[in-house]
Amino acid sequence: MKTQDKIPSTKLERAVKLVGTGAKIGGNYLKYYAKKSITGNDDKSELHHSNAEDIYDSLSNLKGSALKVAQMLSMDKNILPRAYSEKFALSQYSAPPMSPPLVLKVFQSATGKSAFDAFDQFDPKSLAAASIGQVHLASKDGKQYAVKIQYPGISDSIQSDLRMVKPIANAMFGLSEKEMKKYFQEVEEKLIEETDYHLELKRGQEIAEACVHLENIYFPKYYPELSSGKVLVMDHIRGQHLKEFLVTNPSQDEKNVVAQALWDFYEFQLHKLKSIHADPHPGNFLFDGNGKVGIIDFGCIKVVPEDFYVNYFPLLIDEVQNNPKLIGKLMKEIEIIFPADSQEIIDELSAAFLKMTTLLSRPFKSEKFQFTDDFLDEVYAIGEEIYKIPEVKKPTQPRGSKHALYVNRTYFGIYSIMADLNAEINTKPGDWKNELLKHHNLL
Amino acid sequence: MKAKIIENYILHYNRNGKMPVSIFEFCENLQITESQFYDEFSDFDSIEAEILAQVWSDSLQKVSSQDYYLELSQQEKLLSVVYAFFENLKNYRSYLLLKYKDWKNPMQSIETMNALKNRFFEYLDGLKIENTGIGIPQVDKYLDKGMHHGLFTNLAFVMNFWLNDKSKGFEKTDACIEKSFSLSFELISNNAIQKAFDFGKFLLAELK
Repeated sequence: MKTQDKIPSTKLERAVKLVGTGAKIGGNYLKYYAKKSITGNDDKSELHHSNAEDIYDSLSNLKGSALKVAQMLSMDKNILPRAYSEKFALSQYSAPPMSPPLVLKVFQSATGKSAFDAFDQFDPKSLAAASIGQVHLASKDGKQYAVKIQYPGISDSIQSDLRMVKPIANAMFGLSEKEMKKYFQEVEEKLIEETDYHLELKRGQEIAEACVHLENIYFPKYYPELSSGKVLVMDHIRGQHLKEFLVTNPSQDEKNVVAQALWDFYEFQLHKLKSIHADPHPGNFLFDGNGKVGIIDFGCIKVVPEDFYVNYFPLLIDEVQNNPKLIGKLMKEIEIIFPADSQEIIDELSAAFLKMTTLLSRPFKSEKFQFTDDFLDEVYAIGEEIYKIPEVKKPTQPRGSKHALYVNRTYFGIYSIMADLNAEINTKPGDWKNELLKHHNLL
Repeated sequence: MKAKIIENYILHYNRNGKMPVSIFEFCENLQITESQFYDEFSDFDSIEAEILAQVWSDSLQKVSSQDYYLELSQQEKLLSVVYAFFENLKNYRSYLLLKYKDWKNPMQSIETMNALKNRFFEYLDGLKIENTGIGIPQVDKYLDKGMHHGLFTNLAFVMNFWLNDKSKGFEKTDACIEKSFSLSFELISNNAIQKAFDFGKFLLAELK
């Protein structure tokens, strides 16, 4: 009956729109920060002030999925020069907010009722930005809730947004479109998952349940009856971001306690659940000041496939590192080297990769390990060294399993949090080590 | 009577895809006298104009009667009404698609938009969105007018967008409202008009 014209969507038109949006959001940013710095009602204002790197701006202006990519890159301190990653890390604190009318509209459309009816109190001004939505405070019957509300249309814009970020990312990493493709697919998949609040709710509940025995870790409770695909209602849990926590000058013992809690949480997820909270940016860990860490945001969960798991993590084990034949096999399995590679390339890449994993596995080689900035600098240095290898810099084919992307990102994130805490913790591997050795008939 | 006429006009349009042949025929089917019709409307165009204007008034009334509305800034108030407007427009989408689907020009140039425009302007007058102007009252009056027209163009733009929007729950229209209006507000509050005026003066002086 009706023939609707298609929404204009040529690349150029979209680009123009994005630029316009960028200009606007950039303006918002300035105003937002200016306001905060004048009224001084934000104790992070100093942090925000340094928030001016061009490249960071261009990415954060893209909002939504692009912001997500910026966040993601910011975790990969190994790849990014440190100065940039510091800047990127800031994008994790705040993004320009949705207007209150839009927030109320989205809530109404998603849940079928007004936010003011659903709660006794609802603050249409956001408490914090999440990359694909924002968080609002609400209360009902004296209980406080955090209500995460998704930007409208975000899931559809992910693909096109990513298309816009690709050239930037390619240029930053000096990688070709081809090299980046499978990784971008992985990122896109994860981002789309992240827009599904039903899934996040389910995963948040599952992980909290599975981790109930872990010490000093706590999770928000989720409320399915109040949530929908675009609105997620959970407990509002209190705590400080890492940097704020460190400003309070906690003792080294206190720092070790929270570091141990986080470490155990990640060891358990990776080796028992085989599925990890893969968004370890500072905003997702809340330190309560009493030795406990609250974990929020289960939007980005990396399920670690079994065949990747059994071929990747043995590389952290001494016995495997001293077994060249097995190393060769594992490197092929995780797509670092390929049968068609020349012996020269195989030798060069294997040596470099082994050097990296040997360094990264240092914590697992003793009962206790002290994470320091020096250790992290060593990791960066090796990263940069590896990056200079021509076959890594300009690969003839994509190297490295796509599954490694989120796993690495997560562990670099954790390592750098550990270093920020200067943590000395128990890092002795659990029974996963023996199980992996058995799997490869080394035990 | 007014509501009845509007309701039946839309019904007719949705079923036949066009206006009734005559006011006589329309009144006959509705079992009212032509005189009763003319008490409310002068012709079919005026019904069409009233449909859009009515949606605006209803939205405004609904939104402004809520407590939180009073706490909002002027710009947020306008946004609330605009969101409600598009929410309510959904009830008329079939009619609007039939009516405006072939419209390639910007919608604000359509005559049936005039009543909506007037009510939109009335609302803006009452709202008094701050526009610093250039300090010359006679000129500022025109700048205010320009701002009103600009915001209406924005509304009409979103209406076009919405007619073509195929996203679920028209969520892209929501995004379009948010983005386009905040850009408009940004232009207003950043004194773009003053700067344009200043630049214009410069050009006039340099290019004569």
